[in-house]
Amino acid sequence: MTEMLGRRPALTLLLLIAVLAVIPFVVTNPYYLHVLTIFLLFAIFASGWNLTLGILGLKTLGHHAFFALGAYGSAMLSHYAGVSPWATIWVGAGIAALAGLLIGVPILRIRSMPHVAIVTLAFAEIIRLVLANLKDWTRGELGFWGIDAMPALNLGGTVVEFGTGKPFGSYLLALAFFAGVHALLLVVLRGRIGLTLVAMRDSELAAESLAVDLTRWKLGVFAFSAAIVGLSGALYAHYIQILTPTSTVGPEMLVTLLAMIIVGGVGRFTGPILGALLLTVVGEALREFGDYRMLLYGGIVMLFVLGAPRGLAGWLALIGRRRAA
Amino acid sequence: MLRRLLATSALALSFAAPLTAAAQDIPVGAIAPLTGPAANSGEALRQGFMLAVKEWNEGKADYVTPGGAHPTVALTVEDNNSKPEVGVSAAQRLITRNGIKLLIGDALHSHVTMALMELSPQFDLPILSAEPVSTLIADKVKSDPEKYALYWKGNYNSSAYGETVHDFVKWALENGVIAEGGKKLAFVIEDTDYGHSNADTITELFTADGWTVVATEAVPAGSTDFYPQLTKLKSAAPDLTLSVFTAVNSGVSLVRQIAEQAMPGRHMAIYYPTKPEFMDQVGDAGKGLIWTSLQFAPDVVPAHKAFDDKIQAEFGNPATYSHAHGYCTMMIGLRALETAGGTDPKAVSDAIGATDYNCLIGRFKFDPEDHTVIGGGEYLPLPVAQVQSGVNQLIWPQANATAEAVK
Amino acid sequence: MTGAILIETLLNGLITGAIYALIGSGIALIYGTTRVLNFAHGEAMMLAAYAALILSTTAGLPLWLAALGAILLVMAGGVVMQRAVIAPILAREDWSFRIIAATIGLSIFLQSAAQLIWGEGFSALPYFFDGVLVLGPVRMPWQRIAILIVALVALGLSALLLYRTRFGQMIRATAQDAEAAEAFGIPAARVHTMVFALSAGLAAVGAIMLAPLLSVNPWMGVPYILKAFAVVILGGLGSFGGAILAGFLLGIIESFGVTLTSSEWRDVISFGLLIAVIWVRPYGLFSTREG
Repeated sequence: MTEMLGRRPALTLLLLIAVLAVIPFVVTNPYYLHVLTIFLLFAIFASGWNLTLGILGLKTLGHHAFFALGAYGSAMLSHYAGVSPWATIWVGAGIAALAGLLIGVPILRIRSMPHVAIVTLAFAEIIRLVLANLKDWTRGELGFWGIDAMPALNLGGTVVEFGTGKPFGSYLLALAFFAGVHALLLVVLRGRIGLTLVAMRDSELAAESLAVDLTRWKLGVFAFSAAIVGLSGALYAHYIQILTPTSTVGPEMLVTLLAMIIVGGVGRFTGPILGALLLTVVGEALREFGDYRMLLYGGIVMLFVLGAPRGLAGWLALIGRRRAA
Repeated sequence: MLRRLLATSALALSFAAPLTAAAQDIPVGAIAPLTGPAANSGEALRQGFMLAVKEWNEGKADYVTPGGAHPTVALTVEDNNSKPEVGVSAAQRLITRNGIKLLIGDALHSHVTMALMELSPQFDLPILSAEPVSTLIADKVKSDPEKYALYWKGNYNSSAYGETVHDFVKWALENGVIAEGGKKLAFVIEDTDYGHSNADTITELFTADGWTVVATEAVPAGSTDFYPQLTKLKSAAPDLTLSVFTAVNSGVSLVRQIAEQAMPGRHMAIYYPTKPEFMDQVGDAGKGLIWTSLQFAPDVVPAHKAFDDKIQAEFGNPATYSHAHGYCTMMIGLRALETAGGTDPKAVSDAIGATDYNCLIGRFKFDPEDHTVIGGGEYLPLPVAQVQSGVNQLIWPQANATAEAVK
Repeated sequence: MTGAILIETLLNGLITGAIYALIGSGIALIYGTTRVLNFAHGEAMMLAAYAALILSTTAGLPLWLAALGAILLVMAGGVVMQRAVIAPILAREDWSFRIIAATIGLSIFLQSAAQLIWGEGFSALPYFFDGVLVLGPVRMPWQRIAILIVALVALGLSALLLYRTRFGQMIRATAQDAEAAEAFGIPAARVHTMVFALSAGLAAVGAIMLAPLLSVNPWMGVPYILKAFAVVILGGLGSFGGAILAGFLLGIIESFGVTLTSSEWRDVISFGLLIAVIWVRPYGLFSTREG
C-alpha cells in the first residue's frame, strides 16, 4: 500500500495543492498560467488512466477515447442544447463512464493482456473515425469551434471568468478539479476499495477469498477511471474551446499520456502528477524544437522502461527511504 | 539533415532575435505548420514570410509610398503542428511574450484559422490568414461582422475553385473537350475540410445544371491505394471525375491508378498538381491531365522565375506556390502597417481591408462583406492547365492560354 | 454488381489482404514464440522502404538487388532491436506491458527520426513490373498481381521453414515452453532473436512490394500496424496460419465494404468487426481457446 500511495500521501497532496494555489497570485504571465492549466488537466487525465493501468493492473491503450467522449459530449450538449457547461461536464464524464462499461465487459472477460491492449486501441480508433465522419454534428477535422467557456462565477463580489484568454480563472478552476479528483482518489484508494484493488491486482485468489465479486468490481473501477478521464476531457473542451478528432483521440495523445504515466511511475499515486508536470513544462520549453519533441517523447518512454521502470515517483520514494534509514 | 538542423537553429535564433532587434521594430507574428506531415508547405510559407520581411527592412520592397518613411518589423514564426489548439497556444505566446501587433495566421490550415480568428476580438489583434481557402471561414465572418472586424482572409474562398471548375467545364463542353454523356459526376477527395468544401460547392453548381453525383469517395489524407474506389467508380461510369487532394503522394497514386484502370470519362484534378514533385513522379500517367489552378509557373512567367531565383539564393531550394503566397500575404500585412502609420489595431485592419495590390500571383483586393480576397476574373486568377508533352500549359481562360486544350 | 466488378473487388481484397497477412503473420510469429507484442513492427516496413529507395536511387543498385539488400538490412535491424530493447526487458517482472510501452516509444522515435533525416516529403520506388493484365473487362497491373504472388511465396516459404525444418521445430518448441526447450539444448534466446529477424523480413517484403504504389514516407507503417493487430486478434493471437487467413478475410471485407458503403467508413467497419468478434469469440475466429 505504501508503495502505491507513498508515505503520507494526504500531506503530500495538501502541500502540492497549497503551492499550486499560490502560483496565480505570484505569476502574472498569462502564458505560464496557460501551460500550468494544461498540466493540471493532463494530470487529472493521467491519474484517471493510471487507476486502470497501474492500480487495477489492466493494460488498456484506449483511454484517450474517454477523453474525447467527455470533451465532445460536454461541448456538443452545451452547444446544441444550450445547457450550461457547469452541468454538461458531468454528462461528459457520464458518457465516458458508459462507454467504459460498454468496452469493459468484453475486455474483462479476456485476461490476456495483448487482447486488452489491442481492443482498447481499436476502440479509440473507432471513436476517432466516428467523430471525424459525423461532420454534420462535429464538423470533423475542421474542428468543433464555438464551444462555450464555463460561465463566469460571482464569488463574493469578485467575478471570475474562464476559458481561452482568461488564464487566472481557468487555472483556478483546473486546480479545483485537480484537488477534488485527487482527494477523491485518495479516499477511494485508502478505504476498503483500495485494499480490494491491490488484493485483486496482486492475487485474484486472495481477492476471491475476501468474497469479492471480481468482475463487477473491476467493471466499476474501470468505469470510474473512464469517468475521471472524461471529466478532464470536458474541462479541456471548455478551456481550449476548439476540438478536433486527431488532437483529442489521435496517436499523439496516446503517446503523450503514456509517457507522462511511465515517466512519473506506473501505479503510483503521485506518478502521473509528476510525469504530467515534467512533460508539459519540458514539452513547452522545447516547442522551438518542435521536430524533436516526438523524438524526445518516444526516446524518454523507451529509456524509462529500460532504465527506470519505477519512474520519478519510485525514484523519489527510494531517496526518501534511504534518507529515513 | 544538416540543412534541417540549421533551419531549426535559425528558428531558435529568430526566437531570440526580437530581444536584440532595434527598439522601434514592430513585432509581427506568424503561425505555420513547421512540424508534421504538412511541414513542407509550412516551411515554404515561412521562407516566403522571411524573404518579404528581409526585403522590407532592407528598403527593397514594394512600399505604398516609395521612398517614404516605412516602419521596420521583427518577425517571429511559430509552429502549429497542424493542430488548432497548438496554434492557439502559439498565438497566445506571440501575443504575451512578443507583444505582436499583427498576426499572419494560419499560414496554411483552414481549421487552425477557424480557431485563431477567435483570438482577434479577445486580444484586439489584427489577424490575416495566408493560404486557407475554406468558405466556412468567410461564412463565419459574415455571421458576426463586428466580432471578426479585425480578421482578414488572404486567399479566395474554396467556392472559387468550384466556380472555376464549373465555368471551365461549361466551356469545355461547348468546345468538345469534354463529352457530356449522361451528366454523371463523381468525386475522389481527401477526407478533410478542404476536400469536402470543394466537393460541396461543385456539387451544388453542377446539380443546378442537371448533373447527378454518382459517388463521393472520401479517403483519409495521405491514402495511396484507390483500387477499391476506382472499381466502384468504374461500375458507376461517371462522365467527369473530380479529385481533390493536398498531399501530392495521394494525387500521384490516383492519377497513375486511373490510367491503369482505363477509367471511363474525363478526370480533372484540383490543387495537388501545383506541387513540383507531382510532375516529377507522375510520369506518362499524367499525359493530358486537366487541372486547376496553375498560379505559379516559373517556366513560363518571367516574374515567377525572378522570384524563384531570389528564393534559391536565400534558402537554396526552388520556390513553390506556397512561397509566393506567403511572400504576398506578408507584403499585404507590412504595407498595411505602413499605411496605418502606427500599430493601432483598427487602423491596421482598415488598411488591410483597403488593400489593392498587384503581387506575384495576381491582384489582391478584399471583399468588404466577408473579408476575403476576391478570386477569379481580374483579381486572383484561377487558370486551368493541361499536361502536354510533360509540360504544364495554360488552356483556360482562353485569353491567357499558352496552348490549345487537347481532347 | 456485375461479374467483372465482383471479380475486381475480390482481387482488390486479396491484394490488400496479402499485405495484411504478411504484416500480421510477422506479429503473430513473434507473439507465438515470445509472447511479445511488437508495436514497432510498422516501422520495420517504413525502414525497409527507405532502405530500398536509398539503395536503388542514391547507391544506384539495380532494383532487385536494392530490394534484397533492404530486406537483409531490416532483418539485421530486427536482431539489433530484439537484443537492445526487447531482451533486457524480458528479464524483468511485469515485462509484457513494459514491452508494449517500450515498442510504442520506439515506434514514435523511429518515425520522428525518419522525418528528421529524410524529411516529410513523399518519394516513390519505380514499378518493378510494367504493364496491365487485361482479361475482358477486368484490368489489373502486373505490379499488383506481383504483390499477391510474392506475398504467397514468402508466406509459403515461412510455413515450410516453420513446419518442415529443424529450425522451425526449434521455434515451435520454444513457443510451447521456452524453459523446457532450453533443457533439451535449444538456445531459446537465439531462437527469439531469429524470430524477430524473420518477422522483420516479412514486413520488409510487404513494404518493398507496396512502395511503388504507396510512396515512401515516415508514417507509412502506421495505418498497417493497427490493421495487422486486428488481423492477429481475429486469427487467434499467436497463430501464424490464423493471421494469414484473417489477413485475407479482412482485405476482402474491406474491399466489399468500400464498394457497398463509403470509403470513410471502411476502417470503422474493420475495427467494429474486431470488437464484435471479441464479444462472441474472444480468442479469434479460428480457435476456441487462448493460443
